Parts: sequence; C-alpha cells; structure tokens
Amino acid sequence: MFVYLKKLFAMFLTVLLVLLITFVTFEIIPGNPALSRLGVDAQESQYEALAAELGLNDPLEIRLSRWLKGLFTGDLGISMRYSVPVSELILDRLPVTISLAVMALVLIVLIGIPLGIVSAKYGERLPGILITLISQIGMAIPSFWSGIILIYIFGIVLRWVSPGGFVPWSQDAYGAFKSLILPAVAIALPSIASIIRYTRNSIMDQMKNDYVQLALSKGLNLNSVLLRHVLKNALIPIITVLGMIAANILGGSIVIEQVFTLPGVGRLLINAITTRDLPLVQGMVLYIAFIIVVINFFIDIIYTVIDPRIRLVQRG
Amino acid sequence: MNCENESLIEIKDLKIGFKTPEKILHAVKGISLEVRKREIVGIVGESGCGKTVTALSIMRLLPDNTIVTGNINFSGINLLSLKEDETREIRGRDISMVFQDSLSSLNPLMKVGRQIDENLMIHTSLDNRDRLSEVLDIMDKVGLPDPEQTYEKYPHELSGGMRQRIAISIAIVCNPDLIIADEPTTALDVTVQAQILELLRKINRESNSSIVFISHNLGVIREVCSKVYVMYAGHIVERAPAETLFTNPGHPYTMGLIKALPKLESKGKELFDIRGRVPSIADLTQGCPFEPRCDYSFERCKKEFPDLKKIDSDHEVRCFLAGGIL
Repeated sequence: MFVYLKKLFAMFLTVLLVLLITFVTFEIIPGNPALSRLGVDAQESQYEALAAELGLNDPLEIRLSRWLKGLFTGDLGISMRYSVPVSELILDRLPVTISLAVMALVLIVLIGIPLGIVSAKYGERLPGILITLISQIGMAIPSFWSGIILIYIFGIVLRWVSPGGFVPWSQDAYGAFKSLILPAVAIALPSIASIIRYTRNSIMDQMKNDYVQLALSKGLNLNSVLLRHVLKNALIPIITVLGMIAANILGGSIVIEQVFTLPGVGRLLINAITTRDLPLVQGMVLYIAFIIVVINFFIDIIYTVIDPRIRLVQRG
Repeated sequence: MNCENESLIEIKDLKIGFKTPEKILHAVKGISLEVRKREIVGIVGESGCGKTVTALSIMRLLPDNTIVTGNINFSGINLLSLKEDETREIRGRDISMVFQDSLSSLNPLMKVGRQIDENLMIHTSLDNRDRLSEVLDIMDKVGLPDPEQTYEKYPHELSGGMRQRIAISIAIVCNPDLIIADEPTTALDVTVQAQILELLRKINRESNSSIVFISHNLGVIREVCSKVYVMYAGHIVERAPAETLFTNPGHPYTMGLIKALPKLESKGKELFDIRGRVPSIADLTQGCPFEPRCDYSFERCKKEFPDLKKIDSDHEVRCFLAGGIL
C-alpha cells in the first residue's frame, strides 16, 4: 500500500512540475491572448479593457496562484478565446478522442500481437520475413497519408462511410462508429506495425531461454509453447509500448483529427496554442500529463499482475 | 530379472553438424552408445565436447540448422526417423529431460505445480482432480515439503535444491523409461548436490527408469553411474564400468580428468589441470584430437585417428597405447 501512496505522490509532483513549466513558457514566448482575440486593427483602449478583464496585467505570481487555487476547487478557469469554462471545452471533446483511442487500441492489440506471434514463430522463414517487411512499410507510412487514402477509397469511391465529421454516440451509435472507424484505422496502422515488431523481437528473445526447451521436452507443440509459456514472458516490453501508444492517442491525434475534421482534443490544443489561450493550454497540458501519469500507473500495476517477481522487488 | 541386460536405447554412429553460411561444423563425430533398462549411464567430458548436443538429439530438440545422421534406436524405433508429432508423443512420456539450471529452465511466470501438471495434461487423460493428486504425490516423493503450498509457488520463491526437485518431478511424473539429466547438480551447493544424486538413484531403483547422467564432474559420475562414456571433441574416447574407469583408466584424457579431481590428501598442493584447451569444433585434425594436449603422444598420433580398442570385455579405449604401456 505504501508503495502505491509513494507512487501517487510522485505522480502529483510530476503533474505540478509540468504545469509550472507550461506557465513559465507562456511568459517567455511572444504573442498575447487579448491581441489575438481582437486582431491587429483593434484600438488601444479596447485592448486595455480586455487585458484587464482577462487579468493579464496582474503579476506572474498572482496569476499562477489564482490558477492553482482554482485548480484545487476543480475550476480550470475560463477560456480566453471561447469565453466558456476550460473543463467544459475539454470534456466536450473527450468522447471523440476516447472513442478513437479505444477503437485504435483494440485494432492494435487484436492485429498487432497475433501477427507478431506468427512472425516470431516462422522466424527467418518466408512468412516471418514477409510480415516483417509489411510492418516495416507500415511504420514508414505517415498516418495522414494513409488517412487520406482511406478517405478516398472508403469515403469517396466506395461511399461506405462519410469522408469526415462526427456524429455523437448518443444520437446514432452506428453512425458514430462509422465516422470513427477510418481515423481509428489510420491511427492504428503505424502502431500495429511497431507492435508486430516489438512482439516478434520480444518473443524471439524469449525463445532462446531454457524454459522453452523444457516446455518442448514435455511434448508440447510449438504453438502451445508460444501461447502458454513464451507469450506471457514476452509481454512486459509489449505492454510498455502499448502504454506509450495509448498515451499518445489519448493526448489527441492532431493530424488525424485535422484530416477527418473530427472535434477531438488534438484540434482543441492546436487552437489553444495559436490563440495564446493560456487557461485552455494549461487545462490541456494538465489533461495530457494526467493521462500519461495514469497510464503509467496502470502499466505498473499490470506488470505486477504479469510477473510475480516484480511484486517482490517493490516490497523490498 | 533378466531385463537388466535388455537394451533400452542404442545410439549408432551418431553425427551432429551445425550448418553455418561457410561450412558445416561437426559437434559430434560418430558416437555409439547403449543404455540398458534400469541402468544409470554417465557421459563425461569438458564443455563443448558434444555431450549436451547428444542429449538434445535424443530429444530431437536441436535447432533447424543441425544435420543429424546415424541411428538412435529406442525400444525398437529409430528416433531420428520419427515425424514431429511422433516425437512429441515420446517426449515427456517415454523420455524426459532434467536441465542444468532450474532457475532458467522453469518458466518464471508459471506456478511450479502447474508446470508439473502440464506433463500429465499432455500425455494422460486424467481429470483435474486426479492430476492434482498425482502431482502432489510426485512432489512428496521427490522430497518437497508441503506439496499443497509448494504447488502454488513460483520458481523464484524456491531454493535451488527445491527447484531442481521440481524439475525432476516434471521429468518423472509420466514415469518415463529414460531420463536424461544434463548436469543436474552443477548449479547446486555440495550438500544439495548429494541429496539430488541420492534422489536420482532412488528414482532409478523404484521406478525402473534408466538415467543418462551428463556431467563434467567425474566425482559426481562415479557416485551414481554404473557405466561411463568419456567424450572428447565429439568422440567417445573411453567406455568402462564406473569403478574400472577410476581404478584402471585407459585413455590419457581420462587419467587427466581423474588427476584433476581435488583430493583430500593433496590439500595445499597445486591443483592439476590438463594443459592446453578443448579444441573448438571448427578445428580439424587428422590424427587423435587429444594429441596436442597428451603427455604420451608420438608421431603416429599426429597422422592417424585411433579406433576404439577393446582392452577388456566391457572396457574400450580410443588410444594406440591402450592396453599396452598405459
């Protein structure tokens, strides 16, 4: 239990540090939210009024403490650009991003890991090399390109799905699924390729171990040895990479959301930065840091579930 | 019981080579050996002499790039001509194996009880309850305390000796005819070593399993084996009953191995070692492979490869001088 409390405290510190760095960065970089909202043609008096309203004239430490105080009461502040609460803006965009992430992760796990196992099983023989080659190509293709190709084929030529936009789940679940499946595939493709490679390498590493020989010497066939013995041992590095991929997707797939015109957190982040909307950026950074920290926490727990030896190390 | 003299496994002219891009490296160069029913046979030699490869070839566990020729006759069938699924029937049920290091040979993420159980799952049609009681029985038989509790443990939670007992349980749970033990005590403390040797002897006595005991340690071999093959550079250089080997070794290499054993009366003196080093399997010599390290070598040894010469009814030596001045 103590281990977990320690971890929780470390997580809290990490998030706080990231927020401070963002705050300071925004002091340094040029640009001004009031100016970006009013445009360059605005009059001095208009600008002064808005700057005062947004609290831009207060010193740094006042603004920081005001923001932090709000944070502890669950208030992330008001977006300077949209004049609505930041939390509302982010929560609005989350369904799209989370749905995308879940669908992409399901694809990555269900396609990447089995193909990695098959590729490892055949090693240097033809099927193994073929899968490696295809995954190499998959990693080299940028997702915006595969996204455009997917839109062209399924959205424009075949007309199976609409070539962009998003229908909320509550309105039309099938429509929501249809609007998200292509971007999910586009996001998943490069990650599937890298999971294939990680799975293959990890399994082939494990195959050199003596326990594989013992398992074979019992009379198990290769498939059972792979699935019952090797896979679990090979899983740790694969889980690590999966966690990184999950954090990445949940942080917003900026490019893919742009290509498919989806209202996800990625596009929100881009808007926030270009308009120097500090409260919104801070809110987004908090969200991303939170996602990463939470995912790492879960991965640590998954490790201990997979490998009893890790539990032991932590206690000691 | 006249089955004592019946042959269980007979290896004839076994050759094992590894394909590399340039050439084939020969690890085993035509060995013949025989294990009879209920016998404990030792194979001794330095690392790299081909003993482990020989064991793995019996199990058909060598990698794809190996070329194995010859004949391994196991109760009437040639193991080398079996198909993959036929070898799987034999593995674990008729022939099983104990590896050197139980920490690496047991799956670290599987409860040890289940690792024993797996053998029964593959080779018997017993239901869960019968298998469990069988596993607990075996664990008790090999001297594991609290079988029920130990069943739930992971390998890293057990001591080296207990892990090796688990490995032995895995090997004997299907009551095989032959157990191949590859350096089963090398990674253990001396006291635990003695216990494991005693356990193997007990298994051999009580369950009629023959054992092939592979070791680089002649002292250990002497304790358990009735017959010993000495291997050097992929050849068998001497075969003799264990006691004969110690009282009347016929090959200069065997003599060296015996002299190299630490003895109580030579305490304080420098330990003996055989000069030179084991030839790599890439080395090709025309003559006797031991010639460069041999104190007795002469001209002929450099050019000719000696045959196995019978110097007694059950004692063969691959040396020109055997039975003569040696």
